[in-house]
Amino acid sequence: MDASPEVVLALYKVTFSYDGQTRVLDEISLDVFKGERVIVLGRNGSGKSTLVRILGALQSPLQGACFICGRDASTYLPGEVSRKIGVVFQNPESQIVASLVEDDVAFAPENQGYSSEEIGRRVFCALAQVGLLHKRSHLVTTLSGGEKQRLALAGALASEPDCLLLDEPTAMLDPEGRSDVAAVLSSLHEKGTTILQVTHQLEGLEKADRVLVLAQGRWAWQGAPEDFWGVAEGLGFELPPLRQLARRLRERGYPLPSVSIESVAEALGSFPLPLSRPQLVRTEADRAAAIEVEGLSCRFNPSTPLELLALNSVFARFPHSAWTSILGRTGSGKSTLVQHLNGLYPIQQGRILLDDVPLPQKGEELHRLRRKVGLVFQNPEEQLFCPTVREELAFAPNNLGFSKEEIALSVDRALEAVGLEEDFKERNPIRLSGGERRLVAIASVLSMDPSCLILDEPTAGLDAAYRKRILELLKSLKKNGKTIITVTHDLEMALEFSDRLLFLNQGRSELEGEPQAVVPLLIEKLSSRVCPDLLRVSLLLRKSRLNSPLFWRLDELLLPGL
Amino acid sequence: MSFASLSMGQYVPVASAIHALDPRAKLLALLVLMGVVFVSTSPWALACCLLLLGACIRGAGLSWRLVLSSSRPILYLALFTFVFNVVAHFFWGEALLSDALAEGTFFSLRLTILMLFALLLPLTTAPLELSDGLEALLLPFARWGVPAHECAMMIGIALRFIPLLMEEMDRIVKAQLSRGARLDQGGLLRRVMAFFPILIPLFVIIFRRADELALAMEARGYRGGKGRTRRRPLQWKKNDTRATILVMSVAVLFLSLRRWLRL
Repeated sequence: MDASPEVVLALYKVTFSYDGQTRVLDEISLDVFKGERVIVLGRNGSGKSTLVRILGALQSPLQGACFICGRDASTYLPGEVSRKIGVVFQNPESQIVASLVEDDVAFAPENQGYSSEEIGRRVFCALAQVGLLHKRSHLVTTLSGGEKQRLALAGALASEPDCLLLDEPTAMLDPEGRSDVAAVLSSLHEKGTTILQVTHQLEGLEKADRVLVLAQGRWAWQGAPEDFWGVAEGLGFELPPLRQLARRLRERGYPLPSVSIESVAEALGSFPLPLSRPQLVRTEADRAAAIEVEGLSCRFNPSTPLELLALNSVFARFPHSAWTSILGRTGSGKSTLVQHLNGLYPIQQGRILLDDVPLPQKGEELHRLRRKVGLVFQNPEEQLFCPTVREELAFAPNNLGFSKEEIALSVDRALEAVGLEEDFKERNPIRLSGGERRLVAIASVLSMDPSCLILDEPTAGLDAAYRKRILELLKSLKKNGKTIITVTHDLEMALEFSDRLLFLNQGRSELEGEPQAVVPLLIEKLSSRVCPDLLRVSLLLRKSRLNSPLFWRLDELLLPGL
Repeated sequence: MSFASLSMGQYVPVASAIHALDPRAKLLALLVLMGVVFVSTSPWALACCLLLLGACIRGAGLSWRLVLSSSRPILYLALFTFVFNVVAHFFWGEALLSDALAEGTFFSLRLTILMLFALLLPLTTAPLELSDGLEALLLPFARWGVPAHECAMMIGIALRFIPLLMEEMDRIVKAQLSRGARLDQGGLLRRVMAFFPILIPLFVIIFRRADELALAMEARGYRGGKGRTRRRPLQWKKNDTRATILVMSVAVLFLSLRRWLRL
């Protein structure tokens, strides 16, 4: 036993339930060893967050025990656990206490009663570890999402804990922010920090020493990350595109010793051309525009020190029954643009044409516009307020003055469109799962039967199953003739599904058009760390085969057997 | 990202003499200066207050423009005071129009100056420092059961989260508008009812945030004011004494002038 590594965190047959009936955690046991990096995977509602609360001694288990550094968690004094375990939660906004970066990092050591010199030292070290030293005297509100999450990490590191406990730390960040946080975590791990991370994303899984899959409160699988890929789909996870491609290559008899961008590119390179089906020439040019934006500019806080040109002469075209993805970094003006399309901002400069008619600016016509252009906000489930799903779906049609029969009909239609059963009508939205509430929120806009549906980050925070469900929903809506516009950070999703891309940068529309045309230019504007794997494969492939196409979709790929 | 305008009283980190003062000194000075504005009943006295305010803004390394742009609600309130005073004096009090206008200007200006002095405090003091200062000043009253630490922490957290909640509210209002909500129609009852679709989600968000924040604070070892130390313990420096004496002398000078010259 002497040789065995030290156990930092341990659970022994832990059971937990919120209502005394359904077990969120069901006799779970776990050992986390010193210096280890463990990833716990689980779908939305699998009990992951409860697990974090129990491991961080923020919640005591109903049965079983939690051991922190060899001691029963229930024997710790209040506040003492924070010296052993640092916890970082999903939403950086609601775990930052102070308004200044330094002040926030100091919060934990202040609570632990250290001298001001020691606090100063810890704040300095913690900020250095996450690479935020240069922003130490900045206001928290001026940080980006990724920086805020790194600040939250520094706040946890300042108590110099034995173990970091992370609850979906990158779920709410854009790709750049995710890659920054992931880099910080990797460097912490290399320096010997024990990390337990709970997530539903498969991104960065290779970096873990061990993977555990939580389902219905029990371990559904555990093992090394490289073994996970074989069972991933059986456990309800969707393989990342690179893995899907690798699997298809293997099915065709190509021996792929390891899955990496290089190996996959090499394997593809050995296939005879053509790699891709000849692209059908889309008749997009003849397709009329549902919405056209011409030279739209928008200035916030004009003539104050905080003046900001959020949109700078944006030109864009959204054709009928096509799916357009709007891409760009946080703060590039994506949300401002789509809110203009819905008439939520008065037009300051430029014009917007809706079916060749200028967008109404006020009064009844503006009100009627909302019927034509439906807008689903980010995290739309947060706007739900009715006691039943039926009333929630009836809210918009009722506002627009539909008759009773029309309302009932549109409620039924919207519910059916998003694939929820009849019996959802009388249920309380608050009691539904996160994914179901997202569907209800989308249905609550669909009930107006808009001809154009705009969605701001429709899949953010959802697990693979609901993500797929929503993407299928949008695909079928498009097939039924609706114009779809999505705002997204998810480049993979945009490339896979959309007919058109619009790339905004600092309020300007820099690129617009079909993916085939836009992607080669887009790549030059993206930093390589956020470039999707498949694009990196084709970039590599083009080094050896100049005429191979840059942009192709997985399902368009023709792979002859060896 | 939201681009909501600078929310009222948001801290502006600049290196200035006033920023560097101890929050206790600033709180005391604010009390004194507000007292001075309160007793200013003549235009001359008010002009002096305006000069004082200008000096403070200059001393804080801020500009009038920035201060005014972060105090829009105050300006609306001042405008309302102006209109109300003019109406009250001219239509109901049967004063001359010129007198009514003068009266309105005077009252709205006094209110604005008063509020702007108060606004300078959060503009020049980091929220945590402000709450530390408040806690230190309230501490003597703790023996009579005043929860000094809790009050101060509450104010600090409120200052941090108000801008966030404003953003959330802005988002919910827009979301419900895009679902065809009418906030501008119908009788009083209907208008009040129209706010439920905004208030209910907002409350749900506030409660959830509060819950998450409490958990995050607990995870970082927070258990009230006991045993808590400070990264930058409040330090009363020579400059703080100087500033306090300066403010006190200005106030005494002002009061004596007022008395002798009947300003």
